[in-house]
Amino acid sequence: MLDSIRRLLRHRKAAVGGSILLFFLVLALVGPWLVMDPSDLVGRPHQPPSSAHLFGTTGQGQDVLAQTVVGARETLAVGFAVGLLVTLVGALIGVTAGYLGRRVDDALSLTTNVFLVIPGLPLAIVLGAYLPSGPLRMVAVLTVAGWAWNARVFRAEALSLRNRDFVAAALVTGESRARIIARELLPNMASLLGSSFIGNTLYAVGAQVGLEFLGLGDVGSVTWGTNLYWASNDAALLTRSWWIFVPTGVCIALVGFSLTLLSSAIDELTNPALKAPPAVAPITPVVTAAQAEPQAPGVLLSVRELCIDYATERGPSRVVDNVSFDIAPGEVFGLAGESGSGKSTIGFGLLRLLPPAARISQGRILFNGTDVTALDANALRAFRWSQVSMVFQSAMSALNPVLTLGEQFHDTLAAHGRASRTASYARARELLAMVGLSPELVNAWPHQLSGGMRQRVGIALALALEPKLVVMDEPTTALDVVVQKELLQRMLELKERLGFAVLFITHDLPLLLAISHRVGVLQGGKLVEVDTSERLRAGARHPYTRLLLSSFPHLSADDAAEPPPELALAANAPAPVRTALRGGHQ
Amino acid sequence: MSPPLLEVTGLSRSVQVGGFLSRSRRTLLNGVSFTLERGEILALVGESGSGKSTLARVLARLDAPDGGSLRLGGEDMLAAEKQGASLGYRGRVQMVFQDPFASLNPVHTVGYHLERPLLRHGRATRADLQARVHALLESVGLTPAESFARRFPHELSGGQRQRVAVARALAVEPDVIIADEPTSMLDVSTRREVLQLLRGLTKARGIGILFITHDLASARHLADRVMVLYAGSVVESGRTAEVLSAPRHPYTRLLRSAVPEGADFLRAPLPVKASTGPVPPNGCAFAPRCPHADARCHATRPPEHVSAADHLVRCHLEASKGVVDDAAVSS
Repeated sequence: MLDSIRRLLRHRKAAVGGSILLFFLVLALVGPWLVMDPSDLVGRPHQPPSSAHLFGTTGQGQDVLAQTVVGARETLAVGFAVGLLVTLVGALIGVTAGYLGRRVDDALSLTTNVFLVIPGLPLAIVLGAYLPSGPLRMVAVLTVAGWAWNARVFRAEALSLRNRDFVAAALVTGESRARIIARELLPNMASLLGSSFIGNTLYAVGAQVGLEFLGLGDVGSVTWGTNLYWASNDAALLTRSWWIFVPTGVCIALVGFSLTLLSSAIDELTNPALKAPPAVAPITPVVTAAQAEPQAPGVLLSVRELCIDYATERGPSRVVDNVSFDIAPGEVFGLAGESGSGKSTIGFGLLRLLPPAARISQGRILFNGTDVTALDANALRAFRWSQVSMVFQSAMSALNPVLTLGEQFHDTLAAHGRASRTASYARARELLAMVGLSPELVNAWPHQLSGGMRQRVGIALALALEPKLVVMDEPTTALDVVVQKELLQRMLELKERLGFAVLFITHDLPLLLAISHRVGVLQGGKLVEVDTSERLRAGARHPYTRLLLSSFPHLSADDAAEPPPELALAANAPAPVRTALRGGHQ
Repeated sequence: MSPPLLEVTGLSRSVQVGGFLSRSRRTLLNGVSFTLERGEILALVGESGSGKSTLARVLARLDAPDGGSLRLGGEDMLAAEKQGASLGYRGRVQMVFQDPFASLNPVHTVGYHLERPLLRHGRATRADLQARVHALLESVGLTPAESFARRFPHELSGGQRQRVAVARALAVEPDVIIADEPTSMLDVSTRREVLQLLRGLTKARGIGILFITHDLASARHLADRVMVLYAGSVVESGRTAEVLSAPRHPYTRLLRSAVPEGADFLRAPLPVKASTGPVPPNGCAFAPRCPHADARCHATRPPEHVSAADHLVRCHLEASKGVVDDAAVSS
């Protein structure tokens, strides 16, 4: 909590917005004692600014400065009170409805919806006619008119949090419902509560000024809204007395501005994705003799001394460290490693599909004689997919949910200058049949397919332009074992027929050893061992490869025993090897 | 003979599909029965959609079953507590969730996560609370305990978080722990330590563990008995070594042959047909995919057949012909 407030203060938007708001808060608190009585008729009406009346006088001869300063107090007090009440009522009703669900949700949601369809302004007019006059009436009117939208927002948030495992875990622990709402759900909504409060205050100030300007407030009190009401009543515009309404207008605009800045600052701080990535210092790559060497014949892809850095707030962090390997045409090359080992980063790097914060800081990627690292944007577009394509881990997010499969094939083919829609659809049918799906699925949408079928579509898409290399990033991790085996068998069959090479990336070393010709093992961004599958299976040399192999329990009879003693020790030893294992995360 | 620790008979659950006026229901669990003894690890194996997690949630009393009984130490808990689980039940049956990144509340410290069950179930007083929390952390190998207790979940690795989740389940000193794929979200090098922790617990404290997994190899490594679930029914169960080395149900064989192992893993064909139609409403759920299915399999649900001591198979072919010849599994 303290930490997040400290971060808020360091944020520029928050600092500017906060200072403006603080100025008005102080003004509202102490200002009224410093200026004259705003209701006193102190001078002649419609006087422009002068030394006696710095902001001039109103149409009735009151001091505009005094009216502006005094008006701040009630306007802001009502604004913050309504902001707080609307947030609390909305959060309480929304979270209760969202968490308890069923009947309670039905009843509360119905009430909320009824309030949402009642237009706010007429409701305020009707309520205003019945309630006794005064600032409390304004608070009541605005709260009743404004809570419903908030309840919707908080209900949605509670619905998404309710299904999180930590809520189920708290239930299993035996916690009561009230405590789950108060201690498990609400603290997770702190940022939503904060930004809602600010947004609601903004709404309250605007709505209050609007109602009062229309004369629906208490015209006897001094607020920014009544100032504008009297300015309009006294024909300020007709008499060109701009000084009567401009100070109040500027104050309202500034308060609105500061609240908007604060709300946007909270958004940015709680959602790091909105933040611009830290600036990356340009690095001059060092070209060594090994990198400059021309590609040997019979090698499809050479990765040479590749380094990839991520820009972080604490400077660049090396994710891929001096990695070199070759892939021959038609070969299945496996990359194994744990999370954070850099295996997926290498895969994305080959297609130059790295996120903006990552960059290739050293090394070269040679593909069939072309230097991929040196391609410009146009050449890169032509290179991707026609030479090297990719199958992603999550097929659902790799396919566009609002396009039929045929359209997605057409998009891919058309982007590379192929063919009409009819020709694309014909090719799509052919490709779908090739991966063992019915060609009729060309008119299906992604949500109509099972996970295994989607991943087959992903493979068909990757093969659409007959690339020479397909990068597969954990293509079967989300699938059941039976579906996984069917998919892999189909993939290898196609490889035999079409002759493409595969870079297969996964954490599952036993699987890699079963399907690859050669396997590279990554640890903390470094390639620690590269060898053929047979040799790795017979006896891996690097201790980390041995540890990975022994970590997978086996199904066959003889190796279900405990791991060899030195590895068992290594797995449990607290210091050196454990640190080495986690190297990838640093 | 004393009653088993946990005895489940005929547990079933279905949910309504379609809109709120729809009458159609989908069966998630179809008459599941099993027993769990003290100090035993029972592995529940099946693919996604087989009803594994539904069963876990029903046993943890997060969802209510439509029918069946659940006896804990001989007492019928569903009949005794119609309004949902009592605190007493929560104190005896605990659950470890699949995703340690989701099952710990990001706003609370590790210490808070362990204090709550200790206080709620009266397993500690305010005075010895700190000592108990530290002892729990030490029992799952998180030392120095003082430092871990003060940390927030995001300051821990996946394996450490899952240890905290296990410690939270242990805090109430339960008799049964339901572990729902506790290692599937973890890196391979940390998987083994969590598995060893679970096995140590059953031995040291006599806790019965229902270990839910999709990974036959983990089941073999850890469990005393295995139960295979397909479309909400138990199709085979028995001692781990027997079920996995000589599977008798065609579905268990299919699972067995899909485990990636050995150089010729991909050359061996899968003993399965491409699905030939919808699941028959009264027959065996596996019939459309089963290479050996005949008319009987589509017409009636096979009964449970006990082939050897404690080895149960739900298959028509098993009951009549005995062992089915299946070359694909001989490896």
